[in-house]
Amino acid sequence: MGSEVALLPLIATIAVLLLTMYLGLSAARRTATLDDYWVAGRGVDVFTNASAISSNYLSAASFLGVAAFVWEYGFDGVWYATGFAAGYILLLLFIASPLRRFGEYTIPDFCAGRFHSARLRRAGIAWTMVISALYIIAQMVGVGTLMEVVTGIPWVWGVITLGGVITLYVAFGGMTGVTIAQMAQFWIMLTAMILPLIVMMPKYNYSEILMHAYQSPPAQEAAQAEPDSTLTGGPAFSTNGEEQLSSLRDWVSPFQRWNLWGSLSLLVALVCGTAGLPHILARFYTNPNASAARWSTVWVLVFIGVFYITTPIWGSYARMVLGPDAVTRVDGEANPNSMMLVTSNMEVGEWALALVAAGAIAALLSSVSGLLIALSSAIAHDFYGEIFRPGASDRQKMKVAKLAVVLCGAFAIVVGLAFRDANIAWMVGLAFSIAASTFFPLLLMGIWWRRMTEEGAYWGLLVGGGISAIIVIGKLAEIWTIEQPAIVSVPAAFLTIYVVSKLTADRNDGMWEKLEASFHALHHPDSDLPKPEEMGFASQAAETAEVSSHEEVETFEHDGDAES
Amino acid sequence: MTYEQMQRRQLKLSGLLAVIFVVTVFSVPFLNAVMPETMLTPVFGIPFVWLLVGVIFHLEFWAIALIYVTYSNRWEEEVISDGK
Repeated sequence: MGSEVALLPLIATIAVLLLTMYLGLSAARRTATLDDYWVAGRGVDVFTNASAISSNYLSAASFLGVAAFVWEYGFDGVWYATGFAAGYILLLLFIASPLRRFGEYTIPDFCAGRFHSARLRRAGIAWTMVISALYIIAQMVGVGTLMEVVTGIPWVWGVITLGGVITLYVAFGGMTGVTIAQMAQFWIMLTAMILPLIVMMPKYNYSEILMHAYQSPPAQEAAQAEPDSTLTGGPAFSTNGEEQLSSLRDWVSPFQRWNLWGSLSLLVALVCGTAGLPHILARFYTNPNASAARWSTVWVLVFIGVFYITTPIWGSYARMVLGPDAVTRVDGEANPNSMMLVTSNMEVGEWALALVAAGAIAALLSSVSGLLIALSSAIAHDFYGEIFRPGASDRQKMKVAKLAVVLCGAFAIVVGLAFRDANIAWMVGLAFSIAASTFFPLLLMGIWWRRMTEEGAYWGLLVGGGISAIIVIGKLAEIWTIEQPAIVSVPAAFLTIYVVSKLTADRNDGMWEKLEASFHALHHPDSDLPKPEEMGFASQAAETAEVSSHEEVETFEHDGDAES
Repeated sequence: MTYEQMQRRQLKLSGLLAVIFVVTVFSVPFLNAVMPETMLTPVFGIPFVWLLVGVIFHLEFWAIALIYVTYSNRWEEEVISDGK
């Protein structure tokens, strides 16, 4: 590995790229309408959407990063494996099905439609772009690293090649192409995660290696202790066993990376942030109805649950068998994210390395493609289609959609090249914290609290996102040591929404009545109840684009201004 | 059942399951701080907190999801069949 070009991983990478391009581009002829382009025609079945959501969610940070975190920090890394999955519980219980019933294209659509507000659409666009941009920078840096480490292709060409491929198939295939490609990518990822473990694990007993760590003395005692020669005998233990042994008990114990409040804040960010990520939420619009959106979430929990259960096993295996400096030894320089690549290569062979590389490339492709859809929909659908040129024809909107994807793809490539030394984990963490502090409170309270007002939503977005940013900037400037902002910013956002909504209580909006109208429009089309369109609210299917007309947005804006 | 009744039932069920979810997950860091040795007690050869967070929580999530979706969809079917 390193500067040499390894043949099998290179072949695996090219195979994943070709498969993805074929699947994505073959959907191009099925993207005739804006519905096809942005929400895959709202006809994605449960299994396909669950696979696609899982794939969209599992970025290289999950694929390579979580296991590496367990390897590096022990138990604190296991929180990542569970917290990432836990986010889908709140998404399922409170958001997925009402959001689908709301029946639009994007989260800014929800902001505008729920509160009849053009300025909330603009705020929604801004936060969508901030969150997705942070996320996409991290992914593109991952692209460069992975291509260089695995295939030997120089950073610049790795970023340009993969960025170009993704942009091409997203631009032509839209959400329909992305969906099919993401489904395939998920199963490549899961196979890459599980198959090498099945080969590796019989060599050692998982519980035995964890129990050796548990039974080893704490660091201060081990300084005087003799190394235990009966410990599982990987090469790391035979080299400098005493030093490694001393860290094992600490490694298996909590609070090695974060203290109690840091752990709680991380959990808040992961649990609430998942339910506020625009590129994940957009996928729930692709199901045909609310019931399918619910079942999709259940299967997502199963799929990513199986995936995340394996990550601590990977991390523990690498730590126990290869030791704490294994990656440094093999790679020449410390890069924890290459831990799985190193482990699979050393313990199984080059075919396993190729498989893990294929899984990591699939993870990157799927996440970046989902993020490109989120970013470009904010530009083409929300900005161009709803604010700048609301009267544009579908044909014009489609052209702009494709142009927006190309522009966002170019942006991804440029930032991938520019932010080479960026801290990927920090950027993803920040994206989660902002999502948890902005869209999650807005969606949760906007759906379930009937008295939430436009003012409350607007200030909630501002305060939640603002506090996240201030805390992170303060940490970077070394003004304070708080690393995880979510434990402060999320409650602050909820509190702001509550207080401001109470202060502006005369301006509430009947969300439940709207959802009811949408429900009956789908299931009881002959009912005398008012239709969603009559309530200034989008209905279930293709006509949503026409319903959110220019006139309505203008009216909403006018109302908002009059009230303020 | 009316739509309004269904929505209230769904919200109650969601609330109950969310409380179970939040209490079980967020209590673990506190328990780790208060009784670290107990949380590391081996169960099936694995330190308890590793088993709990790494595996058992996922099973809990699946159970919560299954309960919610089963009841939610059943209530929706009732509203659809009643036509209210």
